[in-house]
Amino acid sequence: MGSAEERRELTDDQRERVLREAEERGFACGCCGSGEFKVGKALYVGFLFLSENHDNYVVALTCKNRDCRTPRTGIKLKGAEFLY
Amino acid sequence: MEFGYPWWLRIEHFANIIFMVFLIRSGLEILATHPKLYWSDDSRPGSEWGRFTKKVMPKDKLYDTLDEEESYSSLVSMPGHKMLGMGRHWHFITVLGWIMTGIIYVALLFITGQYHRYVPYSWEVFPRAWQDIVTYLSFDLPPTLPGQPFNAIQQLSYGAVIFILAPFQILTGAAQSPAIEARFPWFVRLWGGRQWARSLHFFGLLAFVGFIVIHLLMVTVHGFGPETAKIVFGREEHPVWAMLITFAALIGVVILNVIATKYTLSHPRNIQRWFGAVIMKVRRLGLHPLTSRQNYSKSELTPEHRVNGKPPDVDSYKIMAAHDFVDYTIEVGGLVERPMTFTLEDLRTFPTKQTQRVLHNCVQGWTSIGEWSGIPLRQIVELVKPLPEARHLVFWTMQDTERDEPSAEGVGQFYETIDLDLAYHPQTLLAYEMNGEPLPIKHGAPLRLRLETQVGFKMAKWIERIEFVSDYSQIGEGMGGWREDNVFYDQDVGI
Ligand SMILES: [Zn+2]
Repeated sequence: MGSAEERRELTDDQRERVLREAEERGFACGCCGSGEFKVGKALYVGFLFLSENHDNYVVALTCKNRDCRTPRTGIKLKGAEFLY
Repeated sequence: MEFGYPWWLRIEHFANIIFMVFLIRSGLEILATHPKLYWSDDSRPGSEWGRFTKKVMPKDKLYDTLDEEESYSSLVSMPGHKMLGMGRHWHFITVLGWIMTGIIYVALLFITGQYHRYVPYSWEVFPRAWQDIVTYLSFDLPPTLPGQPFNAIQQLSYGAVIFILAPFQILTGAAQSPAIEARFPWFVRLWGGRQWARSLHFFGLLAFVGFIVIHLLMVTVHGFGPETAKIVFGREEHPVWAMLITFAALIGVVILNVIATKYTLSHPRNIQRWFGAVIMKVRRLGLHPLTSRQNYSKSELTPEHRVNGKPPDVDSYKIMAAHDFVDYTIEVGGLVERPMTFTLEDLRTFPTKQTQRVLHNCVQGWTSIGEWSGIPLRQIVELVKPLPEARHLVFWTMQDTERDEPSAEGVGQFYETIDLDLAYHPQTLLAYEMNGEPLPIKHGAPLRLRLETQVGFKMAKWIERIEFVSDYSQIGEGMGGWREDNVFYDQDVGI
């Protein structure tokens, strides 16, 4: 697996589903507590990391609060929850 | 002249028995760590022609070559039980002794004229040698050559072992040294590549073992008493005493092996310190001046470069990776005038990006060919200006070995040190790209070291901090790196 296959760009539809999942779980920015995010790439972690289940992804989220000091965070999702 | 068995020849013969036994056993330990032999420098999984393991690797999870390592019994390998670090120490310390013995032996052969016994002076020898084999096979003893202590087949086999097989083993061994390969890529190609050299070295081992078995058989066939008398007393006398002394000597060799093996297994740190002091002095003197001059072609790149080590299994790293390492920084500090911090973008926009296509040598024996791009480390060194007392660089990584590397012995943050002079080598690189793409996670993203004259474990991956130090004895167990501390490798590994 090269670096290109590690991270995938998501479609608008997939991004929507990520946000919905985040909201349902009450996912909030660890720095400022905001619940508003921009969705980035999805990193497939199921293959590379020992502790991860085969279907796991970490999806990049960027906190929309402009004053946030560590805006870049991420949420762990199963592929089935947002990809298909 | 008279071809006898002078005292020096008899001592050399006995020393050689001891060295050969240690070389063979420690060689098998080295083979155990990657019990597969290839014809191609890609070492592609499944392409091995020789396989000395039954382990099967998973397809749906990242595995690395530490998972493929075999544990052999101490009856077979020195010291056994998956101790590559100790196997290497024994192999290299023994080979120094063996080569010195060999040089003295050959020198004395020529000084005394005894070498004539091993040199055929007429083509006649070859058909006679064949005739000798036929004679042996019909359970008879062939006649010796006129004026010679040996028959034709003996002359040819002894001559071949001394003047062909022994140098062949030394050269195919040297062809596996990353420092020698990096400086003289033509020398590795001469053997057909690094994996050819490794395979040929294995055939050399088989040839030696075959020779020893037949040699012992022949000694018995010719008469154990009189034959051992020649090598014990120098002439055919007191055959019973000769046999007893031979058996005692062989038992002595076995006892020596038992003691050495037990001590190595119980006190590996002492072996590492004592043998390492000698071996590293030879390496630093002989191999440090060699700089890498490799430039493999694009068509030679390995499609699936092998991996050793597993990435940091922690959320902060995964989140950073999901964001293309935008938040990554590397600190460079310690004994320097100007400590600095760089982001990945800082490093990528350095004006002196360098790309090199090189052979990667794992300490375990596999290889792959990769293209790496990054910044020459010497430029970072020149920017931060090391203080005069700085001697080594410590590469601290994001890897927690207990969490990330359950196949390896030991715990703690992974780190490696290198000598400052290696940081100035032209192909020593902080690499952020591989094969034209951003560095993959399994190969050390976002930043790893490339140190082309040393074996792979020195090339720290997932680096987060570089520290200049005057000595490393206060870091970890004080041996100069996590693998040095935990699996007893040497701090300097040009071979
Ligand atoms: Zn925030």
